[in-house]
Amino acid sequence: MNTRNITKKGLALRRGVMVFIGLAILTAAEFFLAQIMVPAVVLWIIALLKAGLVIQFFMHLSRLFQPDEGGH
Amino acid sequence: MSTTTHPMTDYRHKLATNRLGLWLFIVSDAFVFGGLLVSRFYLLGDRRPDLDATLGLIVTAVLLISSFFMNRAEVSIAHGDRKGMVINALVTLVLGLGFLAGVVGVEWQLAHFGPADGPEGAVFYMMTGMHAFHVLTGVLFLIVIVRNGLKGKYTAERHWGVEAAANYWHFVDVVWIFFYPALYLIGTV
Repeated sequence: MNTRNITKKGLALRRGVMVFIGLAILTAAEFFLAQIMVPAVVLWIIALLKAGLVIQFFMHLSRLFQPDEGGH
Repeated sequence: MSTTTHPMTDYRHKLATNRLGLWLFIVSDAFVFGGLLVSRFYLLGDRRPDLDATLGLIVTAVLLISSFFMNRAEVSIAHGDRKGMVINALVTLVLGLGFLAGVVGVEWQLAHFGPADGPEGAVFYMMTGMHAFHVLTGVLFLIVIVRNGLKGKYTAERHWGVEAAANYWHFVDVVWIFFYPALYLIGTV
């Protein structure tokens, strides 16, 4: 494995960590906001943000429109 | 004029078709879960099932962590790290089983109602049951890719199986992202 590949892998793994931290913060936020009975729309917005993160960064929706992306 | 194409060009074309096919499946499956979500609000309105909120948070965290490891598995094989892929897929698999144990093994036993006890039971068991079935099929998918990974069938250039398993797993996670507030957070008991 060359240095460039290791760097690319490191960046991809770091992005995964950042997305996970975002998901964890949003999940904790929705749990505590639900305890103080915020309107349901707030919880739906948080759920949409979480789904957006997963679809964009974990499911790589953009690959569908860029066949060469992904390196395989 | 020659009609032969490079094998990698063929593979890329096939990969693009596979990706489109998987996304079409995911969208069609999403309609099933969307229907269940709508039926929850139609039948229960502002009420929600009487469930253990802490347990709901725990199983949600387990599924989110499993998605993180599934992403690591895909990144690993995309950079030629077969061992990393197998290890991360195994962690995902164990977390998936943990989620199933939490929902089916614990939450179903703790619930104060059964599947036949009115709309509350029907909604809760149908939503969690359908989702748990998808988690179970995801676990089976993971077993297949771990087995193939151990046999060295995936490379950095060709690992559609791992990508498909990862996308399916993340889709199951996305479904739970909407089911969690619908079942545990929104409305009053």
